Parts: sequence; structure tokens; C-alpha cells
Amino acid sequence: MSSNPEGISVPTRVRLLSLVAALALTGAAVAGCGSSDGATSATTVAPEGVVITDPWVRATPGGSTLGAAYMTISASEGDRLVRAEVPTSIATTTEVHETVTSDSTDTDGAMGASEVEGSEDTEGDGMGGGMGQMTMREVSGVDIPADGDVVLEPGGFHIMLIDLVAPLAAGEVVPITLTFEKAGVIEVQATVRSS
Amino acid sequence: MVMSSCGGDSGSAYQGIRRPSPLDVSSVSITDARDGSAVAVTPPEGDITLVYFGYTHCPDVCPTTFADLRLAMEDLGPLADRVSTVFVTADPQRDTADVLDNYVGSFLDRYSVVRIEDPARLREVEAQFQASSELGPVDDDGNYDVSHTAIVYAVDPSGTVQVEWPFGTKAPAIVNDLELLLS
Repeated sequence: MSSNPEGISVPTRVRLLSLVAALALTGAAVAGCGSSDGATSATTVAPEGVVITDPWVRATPGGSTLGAAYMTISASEGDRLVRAEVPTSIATTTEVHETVTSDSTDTDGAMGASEVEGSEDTEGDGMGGGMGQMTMREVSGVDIPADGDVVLEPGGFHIMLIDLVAPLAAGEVVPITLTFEKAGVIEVQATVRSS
Repeated sequence: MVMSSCGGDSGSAYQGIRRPSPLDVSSVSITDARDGSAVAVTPPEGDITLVYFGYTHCPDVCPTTFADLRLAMEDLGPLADRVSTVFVTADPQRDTADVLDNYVGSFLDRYSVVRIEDPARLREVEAQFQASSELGPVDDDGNYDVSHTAIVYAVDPSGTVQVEWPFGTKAPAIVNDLELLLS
């Protein structure tokens, strides 16, 4: 079933809300490194070797106030994504989440966070008798190994945009400010698309 | 892995999951939240009904599945007129009829929305598909997640689940299977 190694660390339920306003300013100050050509480039490379590829946000379904952002991240030296923010003019709160598949007998939320896995695909997961449930949890960060990409993708890690101010329509661009332990703050321009 | 048989023989094999003993859901009786009309879980001859248990405050799994379904319906062309989708909410507190209609209607043209307020009754219906769901803990802001089986069930006119698509099944696989079912 789920191949998540358990007990690596406990997810911290830290609300980032109080930091949003302060970081929005920080993000704006650093925005020059990525946003000036953001409309034409789908890849952002930071000096520290962090590469962000194909950042995108799903177009908002009817009536929803939630969004999810996805991208591929690599770091030549290895790094750790510790925070993601979008401007409060787009969404009130931004959190890093992971979707996991659990057995129905183990849905009390007590599983350890798997923060080292990136792109485990979901082949057949949850199909043992069809009882596997999918659920989300907030994670304190996402480790980016030196020797491989981490894919934030549907059914895995994603950046969750909570309380969208307005629905996001295909073609729009959402600036996302990512904070890495080593590389610091990197802003990417995520394109909104339907899938 | 489970689906390894489908690789070389495209067009004649299902790409979703088929149970050795298919689920019989012919006795499932549910109504549309919008007008109280009966939902045809067992479709009329020649049609297929898709059933999904989910919730609209679902930023990742449900919109991914419904985006794939939307693509599949577009790719099916005229055959899509013979496919209807039933969205059963696992979160009846927040998912009112209007919320459900707005949400599912932004993906699909032919659908029903089902809201079963009585938890025991919802469990019963889920159990008929061997599905399940659970509300997560409420956080400081009053938000909560819902754990749920994230499978699309394709029901034929005999009331049998002929194929199930787990999360992550892409539109081409869905189209492949629906073309087989509708042929």
C-alpha cells in the first residue's frame, strides 16, 4: 500500500497566516530575481542551484475557494523547501500539504510525515479491496535531494492556497514565493491552467 | 503493476481495475440534492453511470479526478452523451445542493449531485461500493479535511460495477475503458 516511511518526523501544525503579511513584503523585495521575465520562462534557476520547473496552479472549480499549486524542484546541492506564500491579494493562507493514501484501518492521522518522498506515483494505491482513503496533511517542509527532482503533483505534495480572494482562471499567473533552507527566497510565476 | 496486462494490447483490454467478483450496486437508491429526483445509479440500456465519493473543499484529489473526467468526456465525443456522473458528497455539512451543482457543473455537463445528511445512511451507500470516508479534525479556523476513497466506479445497465479507476487514472485510460463499455 502506501510506501511512506513512517515516523521520520511529526508534521508541525504551524499556521503561516501571521507570517503572510510580513513575507509578502519580503517576497516583493526579492521579486526581481524571477518575475521580470516570468511570463516567458517556465523555469527559474536560483544561484544556489535550485531549479523550479513548470510551476502551475489548477483553475478554480465552480464555487471553490481552494487552490493547489504544483511544480518540479531540483537542487544540485540538496535543499529543503520550508515555506510557500502567495500574495494575500490572491489567497489568505498558503500551506505546503501532502496527499497520502491510507488504509481504512489507519486513518487517525497518527502517521508520521514522509518528507523525503517526492514523486512516488499512485499506481494502484488504495485498491486493495478499494478501501484506501486519500487524505491530506500539512507538512513542515519538503526535502529536495541532491541527486533527484521532487515533483509537487496531484496526489502528492502540493502548495495549498486557502481562501482564494477570487477564482483563478486559466491563463492567469500567480506569483509564488518559495523559501528554501539554503537557497533562501525564490519567486516563481505559476501559470493557471485547467489540468 | 496491477494493470500490466494493458500495455501491449491496446484497445481490447480495460485499463482500470476489474474485480474477480464485480460489485452489484443495483439496489442503491439515492436522490439528487437539487430536486429530490431519483438518481439512476443503474443507467438505462446503452448508457454508463460513473459514481464518485468526494467533497468540494478538496483542493488536490477531487479536482484532479474531475479534470481527467472532463478531458475524457471531451475526447469521447458523441459517446459522452451516454455517460452520466454521480457525485456523492462525503461532506454534507458544507456541500449544499447549490455548492455541489456549481462545483460539478464546472467540470461536466451530464451529472447528478447527491447529499446524504444522515451519516449512517451515507455509510450504507458507501459500503455498497466498498468505499468509505471520514471527517478529519476541525482546526482553529473551523476548517477540516475529509479522508475518502477516491475511485470512480463505472456502472453498467445491469447495475454492476464493470471497472474502477483509482486516483491518477488519466483521461486516455478512461476513454479506452468507456469505449469498451459502450461498444
